[in-house]
Amino acid sequence: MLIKSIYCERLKCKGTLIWPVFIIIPIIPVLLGCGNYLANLGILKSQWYSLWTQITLFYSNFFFAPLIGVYCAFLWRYENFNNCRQYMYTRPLKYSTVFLSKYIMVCAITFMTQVWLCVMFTAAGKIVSLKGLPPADIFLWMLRGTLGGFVTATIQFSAAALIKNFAVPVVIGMLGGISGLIAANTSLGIFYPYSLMLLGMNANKSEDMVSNIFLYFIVSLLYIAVFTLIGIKISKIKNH
Amino acid sequence: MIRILKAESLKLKRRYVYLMFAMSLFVIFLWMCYSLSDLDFNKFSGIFALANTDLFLINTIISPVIIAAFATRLADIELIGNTYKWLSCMQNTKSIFKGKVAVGVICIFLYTLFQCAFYILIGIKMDFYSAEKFTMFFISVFAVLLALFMFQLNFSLWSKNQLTPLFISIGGTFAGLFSWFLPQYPLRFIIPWGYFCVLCNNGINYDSVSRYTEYYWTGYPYFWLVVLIVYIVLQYMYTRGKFITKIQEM
Repeated sequence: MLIKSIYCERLKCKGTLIWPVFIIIPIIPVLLGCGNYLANLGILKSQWYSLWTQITLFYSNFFFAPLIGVYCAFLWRYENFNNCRQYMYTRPLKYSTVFLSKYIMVCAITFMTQVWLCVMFTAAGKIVSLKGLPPADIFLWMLRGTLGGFVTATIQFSAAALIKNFAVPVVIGMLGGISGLIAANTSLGIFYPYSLMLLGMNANKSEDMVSNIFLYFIVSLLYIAVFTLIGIKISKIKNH
Repeated sequence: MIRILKAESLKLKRRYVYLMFAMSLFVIFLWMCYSLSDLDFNKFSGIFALANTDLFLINTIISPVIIAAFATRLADIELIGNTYKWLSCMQNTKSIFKGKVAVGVICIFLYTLFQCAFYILIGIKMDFYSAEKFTMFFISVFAVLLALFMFQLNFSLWSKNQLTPLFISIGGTFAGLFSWFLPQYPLRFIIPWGYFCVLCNNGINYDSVSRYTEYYWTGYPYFWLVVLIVYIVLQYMYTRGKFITKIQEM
Protein backbone atom coordinates (compact mmCIF):
# COMPACT_ATOMS: atom_id res chain seq x y z
CA MET A 1 0.00 0.00 0.00
CA LEU A 2 2.90 2.33 0.76
CA ILE A 3 4.25 1.90 -2.78
CA LYS A 4 0.82 2.71 -4.27
CA SER A 5 0.63 5.81 -2.06
CA ILE A 6 4.08 6.92 -3.19
CA TYR A 7 2.92 6.48 -6.77
CA CYS A 8 -0.12 8.68 -6.04
CA GLU A 9 2.12 11.34 -4.53
CA ARG A 10 4.32 11.23 -7.61
CA LEU A 11 1.27 11.83 -9.78
CA LYS A 12 0.29 14.82 -7.62
CA CYS A 13 3.71 16.37 -8.29
CA LYS A 14 3.38 16.05 -12.04
CA GLY A 15 3.34 19.37 -13.89
CA THR A 16 3.60 21.45 -10.74
CA LEU A 17 5.76 24.44 -9.83
CA ILE A 18 7.98 22.17 -7.73
CA TRP A 19 10.07 21.21 -10.78
CA PRO A 20 11.00 24.73 -11.95
CA VAL A 21 12.01 25.44 -8.33
CA PHE A 22 14.02 22.20 -8.23
CA ILE A 23 15.86 23.19 -11.43
CA ILE A 24 16.35 26.93 -10.92
CA ILE A 25 17.12 27.47 -7.21
CA PRO A 26 20.31 25.32 -7.07
CA ILE A 27 21.63 27.10 -10.18
CA ILE A 28 21.82 30.40 -8.27
CA PRO A 29 24.37 29.28 -5.61
CA VAL A 30 26.41 27.57 -8.33
CA LEU A 31 26.59 30.81 -10.34
CA LEU A 32 27.35 32.83 -7.22
CA GLY A 33 29.99 30.30 -6.08
CA CYS A 34 31.68 30.25 -9.51
CA GLY A 35 31.71 34.06 -9.60
CA ASN A 36 33.34 34.18 -6.17
CA TYR A 37 35.84 31.48 -7.16
CA LEU A 38 36.90 33.29 -10.34
CA ALA A 39 37.14 36.60 -8.48
CA ASN A 40 39.47 35.12 -5.83
CA LEU A 41 41.72 32.82 -7.84
CA GLY A 42 44.73 34.35 -6.10
CA ILE A 43 43.66 32.96 -2.72
CA LEU A 44 41.71 29.86 -3.73
CA LYS A 45 44.41 27.43 -4.83
CA SER A 46 42.90 24.03 -3.97
CA GLN A 47 41.20 23.55 -7.35
CA TRP A 48 38.01 21.43 -7.00
CA TYR A 49 38.02 21.79 -3.20
CA SER A 50 38.14 25.58 -3.48
CA LEU A 51 35.25 25.62 -5.94
CA TRP A 52 33.35 23.31 -3.58
CA THR A 53 33.84 25.72 -0.65
CA GLN A 54 32.48 28.61 -2.70
CA ILE A 55 29.42 26.77 -4.01
CA THR A 56 28.45 25.14 -0.73
CA LEU A 57 28.93 28.43 1.13
CA PHE A 58 25.68 29.71 -0.39
CA TYR A 59 23.91 26.45 -1.20
CA SER A 60 24.15 24.73 2.18
CA ASN A 61 24.12 27.75 4.44
CA PHE A 62 21.28 29.79 3.02
CA PHE A 63 19.36 28.06 0.23
CA PHE A 64 19.06 24.39 1.08
CA ALA A 65 16.74 24.50 4.12
CA PRO A 66 14.22 26.96 2.56
CA LEU A 67 14.29 24.85 -0.62
CA ILE A 68 13.40 21.72 1.35
CA GLY A 69 10.79 23.84 3.15
CA VAL A 70 9.25 24.65 -0.25
CA TYR A 71 9.16 20.95 -1.23
CA CYS A 72 7.50 19.93 2.04
CA ALA A 73 4.97 22.76 2.09
CA PHE A 74 4.17 22.03 -1.53
CA LEU A 75 3.35 18.39 -0.92
CA TRP A 76 0.92 19.34 1.85
CA ARG A 77 -0.45 22.31 -0.05
CA TYR A 78 -2.86 20.35 -2.24
CA GLU A 79 -4.33 18.67 0.81
CA ASN A 80 -5.07 22.04 2.42
CA PHE A 81 -7.61 23.07 -0.22
CA ASN A 82 -11.25 21.98 -0.51
CA ASN A 83 -11.05 19.73 2.54
CA CYS A 84 -8.70 17.38 0.70
CA ARG A 85 -7.11 16.29 3.97
CA GLN A 86 -10.47 14.98 5.16
CA TYR A 87 -11.03 13.12 1.89
CA MET A 88 -7.54 11.71 2.02
CA TYR A 89 -7.96 10.41 5.56
CA THR A 90 -11.27 8.74 4.69
CA ARG A 91 -9.31 6.35 2.48
CA PRO A 92 -8.54 3.00 4.12
CA LEU A 93 -4.98 4.02 4.83
CA LYS A 94 -3.02 4.35 8.02
CA TYR A 95 -1.88 7.84 9.04
CA SER A 96 1.66 6.55 8.94
CA THR A 97 1.24 5.35 5.32
CA VAL A 98 0.00 8.76 4.18
CA PHE A 99 2.76 10.55 6.08
CA LEU A 100 5.53 8.21 4.95
CA SER A 101 4.49 8.22 1.29
CA LYS A 102 4.74 12.00 1.21
CA TYR A 103 7.94 12.02 3.24
CA ILE A 104 9.60 9.47 0.94
CA MET A 105 8.62 11.66 -2.01
CA VAL A 106 10.30 14.66 -0.31
CA CYS A 107 13.42 12.55 0.32
CA ALA A 108 13.46 11.45 -3.32
CA ILE A 109 13.27 15.08 -4.51
CA THR A 110 15.97 16.04 -1.98
CA PHE A 111 18.21 13.29 -3.32
CA MET A 112 17.56 14.42 -6.90
CA THR A 113 18.42 17.99 -5.89
CA GLN A 114 21.76 16.77 -4.56
CA VAL A 115 22.42 14.84 -7.78
CA TRP A 116 21.49 17.95 -9.79
CA LEU A 117 23.93 20.00 -7.71
CA CYS A 118 26.59 17.35 -8.28
CA VAL A 119 26.09 17.57 -12.06
CA MET A 120 26.21 21.36 -12.00
CA PHE A 121 29.28 21.37 -9.75
CA THR A 122 31.14 19.11 -12.20
CA ALA A 123 29.99 21.21 -15.19
CA ALA A 124 30.93 24.44 -13.39
CA GLY A 125 34.38 23.00 -12.62
CA LYS A 126 34.93 22.21 -16.28
CA ILE A 127 33.68 25.67 -17.30
CA VAL A 128 36.13 27.38 -14.92
CA SER A 129 38.89 25.16 -16.44
CA LEU A 130 39.58 22.76 -13.57
CA LYS A 131 41.50 19.66 -14.55
CA GLY A 132 40.13 16.12 -14.37
CA LEU A 133 37.05 15.15 -12.38
CA PRO A 134 36.10 16.14 -8.80
CA PRO A 135 37.90 14.12 -6.07
CA ALA A 136 36.01 11.14 -4.67
CA ASP A 137 35.73 12.68 -1.17
CA ILE A 138 33.51 15.42 -2.57
CA PHE A 139 31.01 12.79 -3.70
CA LEU A 140 31.20 11.21 -0.26
CA TRP A 141 30.49 14.61 1.33
CA MET A 142 27.56 15.00 -1.04
CA LEU A 143 26.09 11.65 0.05
CA ARG A 144 26.69 12.42 3.69
CA GLY A 145 25.05 15.83 3.22
CA THR A 146 22.05 14.11 1.65
CA LEU A 147 21.51 12.15 4.87
CA GLY A 148 21.73 15.42 6.81
CA GLY A 149 19.29 16.86 4.27
CA PHE A 150 16.83 14.08 5.11
CA VAL A 151 16.95 15.22 8.74
CA THR A 152 16.07 18.78 7.66
CA ALA A 153 13.32 17.31 5.44
CA THR A 154 11.83 15.37 8.37
CA ILE A 155 11.53 18.49 10.54
CA GLN A 156 10.25 20.63 7.70
CA PHE A 157 7.77 17.98 6.68
CA SER A 158 6.40 17.64 10.21
CA ALA A 159 6.09 21.45 10.42
CA ALA A 160 4.24 21.52 7.09
CA ALA A 161 1.89 18.78 8.34
CA LEU A 162 1.10 20.90 11.39
CA ILE A 163 0.87 24.35 9.78
CA LYS A 164 -1.68 24.63 7.00
CA ASN A 165 0.10 27.46 5.24
CA PHE A 166 2.77 27.54 2.61
CA ALA A 167 4.84 30.50 3.79
CA VAL A 168 5.40 29.66 7.46
CA PRO A 169 7.27 26.31 6.96
CA VAL A 170 9.51 28.02 4.38
CA VAL A 171 10.32 30.74 6.93
CA ILE A 172 11.03 28.06 9.56
CA GLY A 173 13.40 26.40 7.07
CA MET A 174 15.23 29.63 6.41
CA LEU A 175 15.61 30.48 10.10
CA GLY A 176 16.61 26.87 10.82
CA GLY A 177 19.28 27.02 8.12
CA ILE A 178 20.84 30.17 9.55
CA SER A 179 20.70 28.89 13.14
CA GLY A 180 22.27 25.68 11.79
CA LEU A 181 25.14 27.70 10.37
CA ILE A 182 25.75 29.22 13.81
CA ALA A 183 25.47 25.86 15.59
CA ALA A 184 27.74 24.12 13.05
CA ASN A 185 30.59 26.37 14.16
CA THR A 186 30.34 25.22 17.77
CA SER A 187 31.64 21.98 19.25
CA LEU A 188 28.09 20.59 19.72
CA GLY A 189 27.00 21.36 16.16
CA ILE A 190 26.60 17.68 15.33
CA PHE A 191 23.66 17.50 17.75
CA TYR A 192 21.71 20.34 16.13
CA PRO A 193 19.46 18.92 13.37
CA TYR A 194 19.78 21.86 10.99
CA SER A 195 23.59 21.71 11.20
CA LEU A 196 23.87 18.12 10.04
CA MET A 197 23.52 18.95 6.36
CA LEU A 198 26.18 21.70 6.52
CA LEU A 199 28.54 19.42 8.42
CA GLY A 200 27.93 16.49 6.10
CA MET A 201 28.52 18.60 3.01
CA ASN A 202 31.64 20.14 4.53
CA ALA A 203 30.14 23.49 3.60
CA ASN A 204 32.76 26.18 2.98
CA LYS A 205 35.56 24.03 4.41
CA SER A 206 38.41 22.21 2.66
CA GLU A 207 39.21 19.97 5.66
CA ASP A 208 36.68 17.44 6.97
CA MET A 209 34.24 18.97 9.48
CA VAL A 210 32.92 15.59 10.69
CA SER A 211 35.52 14.02 12.93
CA ASN A 212 33.36 11.05 13.96
CA ILE A 213 31.45 9.72 10.97
CA PHE A 214 29.86 6.94 13.03
CA LEU A 215 28.37 9.48 15.47
CA TYR A 216 27.17 11.55 12.51
CA PHE A 217 25.23 8.62 11.06
CA ILE A 218 23.78 7.61 14.43
CA VAL A 219 22.61 11.16 15.23
CA SER A 220 21.14 11.62 11.74
CA LEU A 221 19.23 8.33 11.78
CA LEU A 222 18.03 9.00 15.32
CA TYR A 223 16.69 12.42 14.34
CA ILE A 224 14.98 10.99 11.25
CA ALA A 225 13.27 8.30 13.35
CA VAL A 226 12.24 10.68 16.16
CA PHE A 227 10.92 13.47 13.94
CA THR A 228 9.08 11.00 11.68
CA LEU A 229 7.30 9.56 14.71
CA ILE A 230 6.49 13.06 15.95
CA GLY A 231 5.21 13.99 12.48
CA ILE A 232 2.95 10.94 12.30
CA LYS A 233 1.62 11.73 15.77
CA ILE A 234 0.99 15.37 14.78
CA SER A 235 -0.93 14.39 11.64
CA LYS A 236 -2.96 11.91 13.69
CA ILE A 237 -3.88 14.52 16.33
CA LYS A 238 -4.53 17.32 13.84
CA ASN A 239 -6.75 15.27 11.55
CA HIS A 240 -8.50 12.90 13.90
CA MET B 1 -9.40 53.50 11.92
CA ILE B 2 -8.77 51.85 15.29
CA ARG B 3 -11.72 49.52 14.69
CA ILE B 4 -10.31 48.51 11.28
CA LEU B 5 -6.90 47.96 12.81
CA LYS B 6 -8.43 45.80 15.50
CA ALA B 7 -10.32 43.76 12.91
CA GLU B 8 -7.16 43.17 10.90
CA SER B 9 -5.11 42.24 13.94
CA LEU B 10 -7.84 39.77 14.99
CA LYS B 11 -7.53 38.13 11.57
CA LEU B 12 -3.88 37.51 12.33
CA LYS B 13 -4.65 35.65 15.54
CA ARG B 14 -3.26 32.08 15.67
CA ARG B 15 -1.71 32.47 12.23
CA TYR B 16 1.90 32.28 13.47
CA VAL B 17 2.69 35.80 12.24
CA TYR B 18 3.99 37.13 15.55
CA LEU B 19 5.86 33.88 16.12
CA MET B 20 7.57 34.32 12.75
CA PHE B 21 8.76 37.81 13.69
CA ALA B 22 9.86 36.63 17.14
CA MET B 23 11.82 33.70 15.68
CA SER B 24 13.42 35.98 13.15
CA LEU B 25 14.51 38.42 15.87
CA PHE B 26 15.90 35.53 17.87
CA VAL B 27 17.97 34.31 14.90
CA ILE B 28 19.27 37.86 14.31
CA PHE B 29 20.19 38.00 18.00
CA LEU B 30 21.99 34.63 17.75
CA TRP B 31 23.78 35.69 14.59
CA MET B 32 25.05 38.91 16.15
CA CYS B 33 26.16 37.15 19.33
CA TYR B 34 27.98 34.59 17.22
CA SER B 35 29.67 37.11 14.92
CA LEU B 36 30.83 39.34 17.80
CA SER B 37 31.57 36.64 20.37
CA ASP B 38 35.21 35.93 19.51
CA LEU B 39 36.29 39.51 18.82
CA ASP B 40 38.48 41.49 21.16
CA PHE B 41 36.69 44.84 21.46
CA ASN B 42 39.86 46.58 22.66
CA LYS B 43 41.95 45.57 19.65
CA PHE B 44 39.67 46.55 16.78
CA SER B 45 38.60 50.06 15.92
CA GLY B 46 35.79 49.28 13.48
CA ILE B 47 33.73 46.79 15.50
CA PHE B 48 30.67 49.02 15.64
CA ALA B 49 30.81 49.47 11.86
CA LEU B 50 31.17 45.69 11.54
CA ALA B 51 28.09 45.18 13.73
CA ASN B 52 26.16 47.65 11.57
CA THR B 53 27.18 45.83 8.36
CA ASP B 54 26.34 42.46 9.91
CA LEU B 55 22.87 43.64 10.88
CA PHE B 56 22.17 44.90 7.36
CA LEU B 57 23.54 41.68 5.86
CA ILE B 58 21.46 39.38 8.05
CA ASN B 59 18.42 41.54 7.25
CA THR B 60 19.12 41.02 3.54
CA ILE B 61 18.99 37.26 4.08
CA ILE B 62 16.13 36.91 6.57
CA SER B 63 13.75 39.84 6.41
CA PRO B 64 12.51 39.75 2.78
CA VAL B 65 11.12 36.23 3.19
CA ILE B 66 9.57 37.12 6.57
CA ILE B 67 7.91 40.17 5.01
CA ALA B 68 6.68 38.09 2.04
CA ALA B 69 5.24 35.46 4.39
CA PHE B 70 3.59 38.24 6.42
CA ALA B 71 2.02 39.78 3.29
CA THR B 72 0.70 36.39 2.17
CA ARG B 73 -0.82 35.85 5.63
CA LEU B 74 -2.56 39.23 5.42
CA ALA B 75 -3.97 38.45 2.00
CA ASP B 76 -4.71 34.74 1.95
CA ILE B 77 -7.45 34.90 4.59
CA GLU B 78 -9.52 37.05 2.21
CA LEU B 79 -8.62 35.03 -0.88
CA ILE B 80 -9.39 31.63 0.67
CA GLY B 81 -12.68 32.91 2.13
CA ASN B 82 -13.44 34.99 -0.99
CA THR B 83 -14.39 37.82 1.35
CA TYR B 84 -13.34 40.95 -0.56
CA LYS B 85 -16.76 41.46 -2.13
CA TRP B 86 -18.54 40.66 1.09
CA LEU B 87 -16.35 43.04 3.10
CA SER B 88 -16.75 45.88 0.61
CA CYS B 89 -20.53 45.75 1.13
CA MET B 90 -20.01 46.55 4.78
CA GLN B 91 -17.07 48.95 4.78
CA ASN B 92 -15.34 51.42 2.50
CA THR B 93 -13.06 49.64 0.02
CA LYS B 94 -10.22 52.02 0.79
CA SER B 95 -10.46 51.25 4.48
CA ILE B 96 -9.94 47.50 3.89
CA PHE B 97 -6.69 48.28 2.13
CA LYS B 98 -5.68 50.92 4.66
CA GLY B 99 -6.31 48.46 7.50
CA LYS B 100 -3.97 45.88 5.97
CA VAL B 101 -1.27 48.46 5.30
CA ALA B 102 -1.62 49.92 8.80
CA VAL B 103 -1.20 46.52 10.47
CA GLY B 104 1.81 45.90 8.25
CA VAL B 105 3.38 49.25 9.12
CA ILE B 106 2.90 48.66 12.86
CA CYS B 107 4.38 45.16 12.75
CA ILE B 108 7.36 46.33 10.68
CA PHE B 109 7.84 49.31 12.99
CA LEU B 110 7.98 47.03 16.04
CA TYR B 111 10.22 44.52 14.26
CA THR B 112 12.68 47.29 13.36
CA LEU B 113 12.42 48.82 16.82
CA PHE B 114 13.45 45.54 18.47
CA GLN B 115 16.40 45.28 16.12
CA CYS B 116 17.36 48.86 16.92
CA ALA B 117 17.11 48.13 20.67
CA PHE B 118 19.45 45.22 20.14
CA TYR B 119 21.79 47.44 18.16
CA ILE B 120 21.82 49.94 21.04
CA LEU B 121 22.68 47.11 23.44
CA ILE B 122 25.66 46.21 21.25
CA GLY B 123 26.64 49.89 21.32
CA ILE B 124 26.47 49.99 25.13
CA LYS B 125 28.57 46.82 25.33
CA MET B 126 31.19 48.47 23.11
CA ASP B 127 31.07 51.82 24.90
CA PHE B 128 29.84 53.44 21.74
CA TYR B 129 26.82 55.67 21.63
CA SER B 130 25.74 57.64 18.61
CA ALA B 131 22.10 58.68 18.41
CA GLU B 132 22.68 59.58 14.76
CA LYS B 133 23.91 56.08 13.85
CA PHE B 134 21.04 54.37 15.67
CA THR B 135 18.48 56.68 14.06
CA MET B 136 19.95 56.13 10.62
CA PHE B 137 19.92 52.37 11.14
CA PHE B 138 16.28 52.49 12.21
CA ILE B 139 15.20 54.70 9.29
CA SER B 140 17.11 52.63 6.74
CA VAL B 141 15.83 49.22 7.84
CA PHE B 142 12.28 50.51 8.34
CA ALA B 143 12.23 52.13 4.87
CA VAL B 144 13.56 49.04 3.09
CA LEU B 145 11.17 46.70 4.92
CA LEU B 146 8.27 49.00 4.12
CA ALA B 147 9.23 49.08 0.45
CA LEU B 148 9.42 45.28 0.40
CA PHE B 149 6.09 45.03 2.21
CA MET B 150 4.33 47.29 -0.31
CA PHE B 151 5.89 45.33 -3.17
CA GLN B 152 4.86 41.95 -1.74
CA LEU B 153 1.38 43.11 -0.75
CA ASN B 154 0.74 44.14 -4.34
CA PHE B 155 1.34 40.54 -5.45
CA SER B 156 -0.21 38.79 -2.48
CA LEU B 157 -3.53 40.64 -2.59
CA TRP B 158 -4.31 39.15 -5.99
CA SER B 159 -2.39 35.90 -6.30
CA LYS B 160 -4.78 32.98 -5.92
CA ASN B 161 -1.62 30.96 -5.64
CA GLN B 162 0.48 32.45 -2.84
CA LEU B 163 3.48 30.51 -4.06
CA THR B 164 4.26 33.12 -6.69
CA PRO B 165 4.85 36.04 -4.27
CA LEU B 166 6.93 33.78 -2.07
CA PHE B 167 9.08 32.60 -4.98
CA ILE B 168 9.52 36.20 -6.10
CA SER B 169 10.67 37.01 -2.60
CA ILE B 170 13.15 34.10 -2.47
CA GLY B 171 14.51 35.10 -5.88
CA GLY B 172 14.70 38.72 -4.72
CA THR B 173 16.58 37.67 -1.60
CA PHE B 174 19.17 35.93 -3.77
CA ALA B 175 19.46 39.00 -5.96
CA GLY B 176 19.77 41.21 -2.86
CA LEU B 177 22.52 38.98 -1.51
CA PHE B 178 24.25 39.01 -4.90
CA SER B 179 24.18 42.78 -4.90
CA TRP B 180 26.44 42.89 -1.81
CA PHE B 181 29.15 41.03 -3.72
CA LEU B 182 28.78 42.83 -7.04
CA PRO B 183 29.59 46.48 -6.32
CA GLN B 184 30.65 47.04 -9.93
CA TYR B 185 27.09 46.52 -11.21
CA PRO B 186 24.10 48.79 -10.45
CA LEU B 187 21.91 45.80 -9.45
CA ARG B 188 21.51 47.03 -5.86
CA PHE B 189 19.96 50.33 -6.97
CA ILE B 190 17.27 48.86 -9.20
CA ILE B 191 15.73 46.19 -6.94
CA PRO B 192 14.15 46.89 -3.53
CA TRP B 193 16.04 43.94 -1.95
CA GLY B 194 19.33 45.64 -2.82
CA TYR B 195 18.59 48.71 -0.71
CA PHE B 196 19.84 47.06 2.49
CA CYS B 197 23.21 47.26 0.80
CA VAL B 198 22.65 50.75 -0.64
CA LEU B 199 21.62 52.27 2.69
CA CYS B 200 24.34 50.56 4.70
CA ASN B 201 26.72 53.44 5.31
CA ASN B 202 29.83 51.35 5.86
CA GLY B 203 32.75 50.57 3.63
CA ILE B 204 35.08 47.59 3.66
CA ASN B 205 38.78 47.52 2.83
CA TYR B 206 39.98 43.98 2.28
CA ASP B 207 43.68 43.25 2.05
CA SER B 208 44.04 39.91 0.26
CA VAL B 209 47.70 39.52 1.31
CA SER B 210 47.22 39.86 5.07
CA ARG B 211 43.52 38.75 4.81
CA TYR B 212 42.69 41.71 7.06
CA THR B 213 39.34 43.46 6.71
CA GLU B 214 38.83 47.03 7.85
CA TYR B 215 35.32 48.41 8.35
CA TYR B 216 34.77 52.15 8.21
CA TRP B 217 31.87 54.64 8.15
CA THR B 218 30.87 56.54 5.05
CA GLY B 219 28.45 59.42 4.50
CA TYR B 220 24.78 58.51 4.67
CA PRO B 221 23.22 58.06 1.19
CA TYR B 222 20.32 60.51 1.65
CA PHE B 223 19.62 60.62 -2.06
CA TRP B 224 18.90 56.89 -2.22
CA LEU B 225 16.74 57.10 0.89
CA VAL B 226 14.62 59.73 -0.87
CA VAL B 227 14.45 57.48 -3.96
CA LEU B 228 13.22 54.63 -1.77
CA ILE B 229 10.60 56.80 -0.05
CA VAL B 230 9.32 57.97 -3.45
CA TYR B 231 9.12 54.31 -4.50
CA ILE B 232 7.13 53.41 -1.36
CA VAL B 233 4.63 56.24 -2.00
CA LEU B 234 4.23 55.31 -5.68
CA GLN B 235 3.87 51.61 -4.90
CA TYR B 236 1.27 52.41 -2.22
CA MET B 237 -0.77 54.54 -4.63
CA TYR B 238 -0.53 51.95 -7.39
CA THR B 239 -1.52 49.02 -5.14
CA ARG B 240 -4.39 50.99 -3.60
CA GLY B 241 -5.69 52.04 -7.03
CA LYS B 242 -5.46 48.48 -8.33
CA PHE B 243 -7.19 47.15 -5.21
CA ILE B 244 -10.14 49.57 -5.50
CA THR B 245 -10.55 48.98 -9.26
CA LYS B 246 -10.44 45.19 -8.89
CA ILE B 247 -13.03 45.17 -6.12
CA GLN B 248 -15.33 47.46 -8.10
CA GLU B 249 -15.03 45.08 -11.05
CA MET B 250 -16.08 42.09 -8.94
